Amino acid sequence: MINILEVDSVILDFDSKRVLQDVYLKSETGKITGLLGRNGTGKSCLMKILFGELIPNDTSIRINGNSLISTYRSPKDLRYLPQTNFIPNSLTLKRILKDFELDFIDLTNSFPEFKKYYNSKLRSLSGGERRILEIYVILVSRTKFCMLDEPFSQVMPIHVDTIKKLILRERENKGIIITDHMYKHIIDICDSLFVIKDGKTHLTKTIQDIETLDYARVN
Amino acid sequence: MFNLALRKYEPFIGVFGLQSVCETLPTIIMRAIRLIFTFYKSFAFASLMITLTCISIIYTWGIDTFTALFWFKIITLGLIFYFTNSFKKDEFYYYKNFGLTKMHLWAPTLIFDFILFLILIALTFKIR
Repeated sequence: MINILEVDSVILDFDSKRVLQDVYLKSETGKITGLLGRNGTGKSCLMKILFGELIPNDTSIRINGNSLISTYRSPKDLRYLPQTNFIPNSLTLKRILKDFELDFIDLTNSFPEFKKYYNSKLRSLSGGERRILEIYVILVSRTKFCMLDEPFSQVMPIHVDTIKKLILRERENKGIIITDHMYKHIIDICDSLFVIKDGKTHLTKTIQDIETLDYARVN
Repeated sequence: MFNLALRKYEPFIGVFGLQSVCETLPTIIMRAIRLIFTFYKSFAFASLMITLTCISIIYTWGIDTFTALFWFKIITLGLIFYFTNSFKKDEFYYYKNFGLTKMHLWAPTLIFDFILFLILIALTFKIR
């Protein structure tokens, strides 16, 4: 079944500054939606609005045409990887995988270095390993849509490639929205790419649009 | 109709579809309880220390101190609420990824902690 997540009519003000005002974003099962934009343009805010963590002045969020009116988000609909570390330090890897109903063997197939950590608490992992685990649980657990906010930060290049492969694998089961300043990786894997500028989303048609929209020099 | 009736349990239903609720509801409830307990553990030590302090005071000075201790416990719970929300704000994303909002976490843990405080005070008074 193809599920569709749409957001539009977003108006977000911080004090007197308008951050988002003319936003349209769509994600659907089998598609990866990239979201780029300069610092402070509202990418993370948009994800938090979708996740119900930030209440804007106005918005319309729909899953398969059904409006999400409250800030409650069912995990079967939507999961979110924030920029910051979010899994409590005191939890063990075993417990985290149990909570997300994930298989340890599948994790170690992608990231063999986790074999030694099954009973370890999260605080014993390095920053990069911790980030990989967070990306993995959000990306692979069962849900219709997942949003990844800067998944490639803190992760070494060889693992970035593994994560990209996982994202492409998981695309078969869910819609994925992803944002990161390592935009070449985003361009590599995404099916549609939006750039936020002046509070508006711009759907890019060519790579040159990224330069035109003043986000990066693409050469 | 059956599905609509189950909507109110949705925070505890997790990633499963409503159709499979009958098979998985105990698992889902157990996970929600486990997550709420994990959250409680993040401030339980501080809160229990305050409760034990209150018990020792009431054991020493008697029931006359109860009103002051009652408000002391309320105020310290308020401080715990404030500092946990400030210093562990990112961890709330973990719970929200299972459908548990701040309200789902705070309401049962604060109620449990306060009831535990009252029970221990009552027991201490009886023993004394």
